[in-house]
Amino acid sequence: MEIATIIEEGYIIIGVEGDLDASSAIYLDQEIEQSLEIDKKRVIVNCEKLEYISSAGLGVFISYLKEFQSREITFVIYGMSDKVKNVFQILGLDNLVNIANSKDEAINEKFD
Amino acid sequence: MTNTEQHTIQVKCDLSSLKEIRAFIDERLSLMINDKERNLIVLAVDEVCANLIIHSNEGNAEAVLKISLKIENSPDGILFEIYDTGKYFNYEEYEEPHFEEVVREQRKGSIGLILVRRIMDKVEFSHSETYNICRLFKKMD
Repeated sequence: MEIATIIEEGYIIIGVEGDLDASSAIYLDQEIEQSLEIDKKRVIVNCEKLEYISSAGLGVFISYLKEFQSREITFVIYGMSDKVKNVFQILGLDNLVNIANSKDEAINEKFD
Repeated sequence: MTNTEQHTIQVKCDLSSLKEIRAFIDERLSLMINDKERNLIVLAVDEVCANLIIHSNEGNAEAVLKISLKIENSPDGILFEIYDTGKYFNYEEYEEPHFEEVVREQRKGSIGLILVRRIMDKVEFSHSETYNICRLFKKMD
């Protein structure tokens, strides 16, 4: 798995590429942890090149949801393939996470 | 009539083996099952293997995890058997956590087995003197 973070004026985009599983989820965890220190009001995860996700990857997202909320950070995921989205749907995680259809929407859309 | 194929892989009990396990299952099922459904089946096996590597064998890379995959056309569908020699997981004592609770407590783990139970039609853990065996069944339409 490869991770690349882009820091912009009002947001951060974390790009995740390859397989997010029990052996690699820790790297995403560290990246999100660091993104919190940068203190932007919007954290975006680009999943356009994410090919696979297991519970370890979902667990990383789940573990930060409360913190994002308490820090009033908007957390958005975009670019998920049907396969990846399907895994979110099994648990109903798609109802707890903001999912955008495009990068533009992920950056600009107002989420509740 | 039941046609049974059996495929077996043996890997090092290490998280780095998960990709190899996934590729093995994906390849064997590629002609039988569509992408989306196949991904879920691969995920369920991956989750069990990751749990065995992390919890039952506590990262002991010298241990061996043997994945035996049986494919039956009918009537039972697909049966996966996963063998390991680590600590036995007592499934009878397992209580599925509420997903809301996992979110509230900001847990990173605990959801692997929830996924397995939602994807597979039958999940069984048993053990003999030499192996622990996890059996996962998936019915085929």
